[in-house]
Amino acid sequence: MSQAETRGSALASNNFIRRLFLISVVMIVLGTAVQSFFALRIFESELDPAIEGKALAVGRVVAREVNRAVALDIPFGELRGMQEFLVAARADHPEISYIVVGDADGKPVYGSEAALDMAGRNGREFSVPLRLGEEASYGAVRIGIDERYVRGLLGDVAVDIVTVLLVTLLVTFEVLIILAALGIVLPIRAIESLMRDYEGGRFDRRSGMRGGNELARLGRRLDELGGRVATSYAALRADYDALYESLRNHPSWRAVEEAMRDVAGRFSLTRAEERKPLRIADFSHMRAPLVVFILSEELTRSFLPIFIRDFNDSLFGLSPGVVNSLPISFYMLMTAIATPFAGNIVDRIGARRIFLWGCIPGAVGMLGCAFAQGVLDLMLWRGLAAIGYAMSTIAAQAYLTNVAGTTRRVQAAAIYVGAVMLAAICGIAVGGIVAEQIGFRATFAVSGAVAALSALLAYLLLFDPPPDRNAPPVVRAKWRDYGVLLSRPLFGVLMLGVAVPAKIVLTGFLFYLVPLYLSSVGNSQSDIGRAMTAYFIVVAVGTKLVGQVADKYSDRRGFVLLGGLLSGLGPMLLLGYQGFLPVVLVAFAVGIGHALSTSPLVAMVTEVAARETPQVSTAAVLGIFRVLERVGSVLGPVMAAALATFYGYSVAMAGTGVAVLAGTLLFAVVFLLHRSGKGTPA
Amino acid sequence: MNLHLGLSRRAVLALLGGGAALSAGASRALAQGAAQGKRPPFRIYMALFRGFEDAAQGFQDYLAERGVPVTYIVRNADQNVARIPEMVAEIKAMKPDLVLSWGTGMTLGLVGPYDAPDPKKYVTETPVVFMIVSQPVGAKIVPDLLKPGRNVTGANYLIPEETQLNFARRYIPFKKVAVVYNPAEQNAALTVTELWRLSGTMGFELVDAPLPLDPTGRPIVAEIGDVLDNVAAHKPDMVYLGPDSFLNDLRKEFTEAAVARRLPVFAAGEGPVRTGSALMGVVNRYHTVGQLAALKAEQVLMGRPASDIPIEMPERFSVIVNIRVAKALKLYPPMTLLKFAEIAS
Repeated sequence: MSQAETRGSALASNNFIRRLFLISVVMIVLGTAVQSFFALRIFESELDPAIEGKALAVGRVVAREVNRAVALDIPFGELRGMQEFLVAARADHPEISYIVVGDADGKPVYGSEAALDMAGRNGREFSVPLRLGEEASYGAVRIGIDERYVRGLLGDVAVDIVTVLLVTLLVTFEVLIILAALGIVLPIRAIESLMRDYEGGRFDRRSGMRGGNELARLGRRLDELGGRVATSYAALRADYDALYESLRNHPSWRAVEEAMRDVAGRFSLTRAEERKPLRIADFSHMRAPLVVFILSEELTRSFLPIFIRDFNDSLFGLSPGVVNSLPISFYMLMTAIATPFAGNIVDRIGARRIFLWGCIPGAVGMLGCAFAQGVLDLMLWRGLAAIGYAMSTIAAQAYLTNVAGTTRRVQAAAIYVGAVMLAAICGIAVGGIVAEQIGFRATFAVSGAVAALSALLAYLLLFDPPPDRNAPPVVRAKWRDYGVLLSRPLFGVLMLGVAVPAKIVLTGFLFYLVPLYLSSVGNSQSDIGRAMTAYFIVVAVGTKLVGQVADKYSDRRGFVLLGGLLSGLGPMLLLGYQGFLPVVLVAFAVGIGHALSTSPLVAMVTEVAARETPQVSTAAVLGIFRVLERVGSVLGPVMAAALATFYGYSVAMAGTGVAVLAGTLLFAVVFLLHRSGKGTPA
Repeated sequence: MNLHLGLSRRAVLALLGGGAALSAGASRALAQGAAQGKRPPFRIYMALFRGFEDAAQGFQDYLAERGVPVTYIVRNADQNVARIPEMVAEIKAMKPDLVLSWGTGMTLGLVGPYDAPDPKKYVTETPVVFMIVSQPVGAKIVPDLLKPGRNVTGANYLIPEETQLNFARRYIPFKKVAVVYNPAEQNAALTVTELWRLSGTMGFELVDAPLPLDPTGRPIVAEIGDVLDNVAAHKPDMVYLGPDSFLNDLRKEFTEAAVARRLPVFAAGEGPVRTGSALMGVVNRYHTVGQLAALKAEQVLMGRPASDIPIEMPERFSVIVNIRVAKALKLYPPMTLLKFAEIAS
């Protein structure tokens, strides 16, 4: 089969898959939209009786007290402290806009000024008559409903539904990609590859397909065919061997021998039972387990600091605020420490096994958090989960890199980043909603189960591809390389000025302060999840766009500078503006900043290293970069917590911005003033 | 209806929760031991002063409910301080497991002041648990409520004046308060000192109206009307009636005389509101105080030294309003107070 033909069939399958996707998406969107519509209707229809019930319950409480006073012979017109009493009765009932007490003629007598003003004007009103025993009613308690608040409730539910819809879409895409790969693309590629084998006279592999679909049947037919060839050849060999002794001196034997040698040379033939099943390693195998694994971590992201805060635990004589940040920082620290070790064992033991092993501490750590009694044991469970995270993610990277071979490294990295982003977007948004419904501890348990599911997927899908003999050996950083790199000032400035502050703002501001702050100003867990998701959506989309643009410029300093300014100035705005929307907008700004600077920064780091420390390989440089930037991840929460304890959330959020801005300034001074253009430092 | 008192709430919760849970097992063990004849029931000597009233009942109710095996030796001094030395002698002879003492006079008579203990005159070996003592520290029964330091503990019952006045203010937003009292009583004098301090911190004017004394040092009953007339001339928003034994005995006459002059009376005790014509009181119910004393007694019987058991107040207290007086004065309770007030008439 020619190259063109191969591409043709691949195109055909791509076309087919594209249509499959289109149809699936249309069906899902339609289905979910219809379902959402009805869900909202049901909520609405159940909301009205619930509101009526609550209004009447509040009204009855007020009526009981008024009746009690009147029964004590206090004249209805001379009740004292009614305004204060009615205001207190309305407290904690945001759906009630006013409570007034009216006389027998329906004239409002008691209530706050605002309540008397609103009475009977707008919206629904419920009333509870005032009467003693069976006597005639002498007045009524009237409860007004705040329609704006009720509409807001409906709006919240609608936003939840849309969030679920979007996440469903994303997850469906993911599932479709995997199903299409496993069910269609990979089998077609296997059959193609087998047919090319046969065409070239190689009969030592078989498809090994099972199942009843067309592709599998075709695969099995090809296997039978190959098997028959192998059996025939074996029979031929047997005949040849049997005749060898008696006929080897026959004059024509030489021709027979010639023919046999020719067959053996032209065809690769083994005995039927020795034919190996043909397996095509592919990114798709890793995608599902990886997304699911990271999802388990992200599910708890939006409430972790709130969960820790609720322990209100003190430790080592530190203030509760700082103690609260320790589990998050400890997690980051353990990831940073475990990653290089995990990297080393992956090379020796294999990516599949390390991924599977990583799921064990991952799942156990999550489950442990569900039952944690204090901050100390919570920290230990988080540390365990961190080790799992380090093992599984490094294994996934290694797996993808192995599958990619030398030619598709960029694609492998894109798939890894894509999986992380997808899991973050879905996990944080869904985690917030789930936590609001079933509670923090139960959500941790769900996370543990999800990590276990990831292990199951990995067990079913992954196999370690045979090592590619042409690929260069994987280079991992040696401890000595850290010293070499850190002794170079330019590398240090990139780390200290850009990479570390970026992580400080990510973990300190976004992961730690945003949930705590939003919770403190009364936002629901679902809203907190959505606010944090804003960051990841911007980063996911932005990184792609920036990647396309940035490649056209060889000078990347502008991107890094702009990114630093955005993600530094953003949080500082929160000194002046407070509430949900400003925080979401700042999360957006930080996201844009990170999207702008992340890839250009990596490019600059490798360039600087390539020029200044050519003895350290690019892969090692990147490994060291990833470990060192985690210093910021560890510092972020502790720094944010310390600031928040002494100066409050606004100042702490601004403080993370100051860290970024200071670093950006350092970067600007060193790289813009001391360096003209992209040449060597002056 | 009952209220939570912030001051002692945590401590009492800890006691009722932690302490009681700890002691529950022990009590059960004690009860079982007694049932199997391993240990005879505890003997508690109840030294009462005004007969077997609500606090004594609360004490016995609590121990019965907890299943602590006890037998009681009940003695009543019938308001006669002279009988106390006989009771001391009897206690020394009988050697009960614990003495329950009612009131300030009785308790001081049994255990003496902490700075002049005399093992010959007072009960020292047998642990004493007191109740209905308004000022345990002021009366020199113990030096420190949290750590009595001697073989004596008990249940406090008087709610701090500041708390009382804060509730009074929710009914009557007073600027001027008059206090009428028997200057010969230590209790009353301590209360007035505290009211003077509060007049500064809470911002009100205090009309200090002691009753005149006769040459023997007893207040002159016939002068009460004149004193109230003088007080009324100052136009106070209310009259404060403290834990004053003399006026509490005359509560009906005193409060009715005040109402006749359109003066609302705020009382520190239950009696003047329920059986007199005081408008309002913020009080601990005697039954509840008795129960708390019984909790302390249980801890002592379990083997915890009385000297280590803090003296506390019940977690809940009552706001009582006399609606008959409210109507007579046309001074109706505000709804927010009425919600949790107990109504007397």
